[in-house]
Amino acid sequence: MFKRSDPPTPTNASSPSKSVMTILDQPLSRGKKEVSLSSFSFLFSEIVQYHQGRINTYPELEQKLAETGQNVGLRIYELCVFRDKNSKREHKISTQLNFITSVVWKTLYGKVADSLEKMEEQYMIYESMPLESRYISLGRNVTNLHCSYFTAGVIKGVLQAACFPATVTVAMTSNKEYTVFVVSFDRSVIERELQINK
Amino acid sequence: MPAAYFVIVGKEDCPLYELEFTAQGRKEDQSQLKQFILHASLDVVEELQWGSKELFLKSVDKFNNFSISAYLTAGYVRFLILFDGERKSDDSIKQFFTEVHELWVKIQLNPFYELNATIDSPSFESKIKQLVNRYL
Repeated sequence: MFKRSDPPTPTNASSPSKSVMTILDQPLSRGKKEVSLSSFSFLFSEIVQYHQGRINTYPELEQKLAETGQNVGLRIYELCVFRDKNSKREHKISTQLNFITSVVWKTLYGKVADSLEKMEEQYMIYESMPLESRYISLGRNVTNLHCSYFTAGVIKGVLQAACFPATVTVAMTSNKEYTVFVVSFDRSVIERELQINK
Repeated sequence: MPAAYFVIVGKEDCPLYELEFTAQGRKEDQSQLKQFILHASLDVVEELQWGSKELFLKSVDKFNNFSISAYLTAGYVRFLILFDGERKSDDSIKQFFTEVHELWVKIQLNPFYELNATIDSPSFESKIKQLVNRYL
């Protein structure tokens, strides 16, 4: 996650034909690369501070974080499917969400999400401590800001790339133990799901 | 090398990359027709993509002497090849598409690459030409 593509390095300056490595020459690694939690937390805190200077209300901050996450989600989805040799394009909601909670979560956070549940027409992903919020402390007066909107944006980006338009919001369970990502799919997706199940 | 027209179509049906090969020595005067046929075949691809979970859709459409093969990525970006007359075996086409898929994933992992924009990178172009020479 957050793999920085190395700048092009010329192999030997004295050779007449200088070969430059581009991002296309580097192999797509098998996914064992890791980034330290502290550098990620540092980067994320800078992202939050960057957006904080440009908004007026907390919902706007959550929106900005979600947009950042959406960008990540759109791109990481292709990578995850490509790496996972046996996976194909999923058409059913449950398989798609299972893919997100297992493969995508593993790629980004090194673990699978805690659980996935369905209630009526909404799907909920439970996570006990989202990685990005681990080192974020909110002020005394702040009770309704969720920096996990970044992960909500990632989920939304992945679903958008897979043609499942949805809105993802963040909530906390009443005992404050779990962060819940509530996924509400658009009307078109639900109708398509009904068609498939017939 | 058979005459072929390779195009990458984004999710919003806009072409992201096009490449045309002609057999040696033949003047190419049907480019617009080929583009038109490829665009029309997008409808067929869209019908098929909801029926199957596969990435490689093999031959999806025929028009006169042209046959079209398609491949879908997980993000519903389409790779289309239009063959004029003879076409290679499905296996070599599939290998070509898989390699292009890998290049595509690398391109769109670049945060500076705007999604649904055309691919201008010259190294991408040279790599595609290498793949064409190898597999087609």
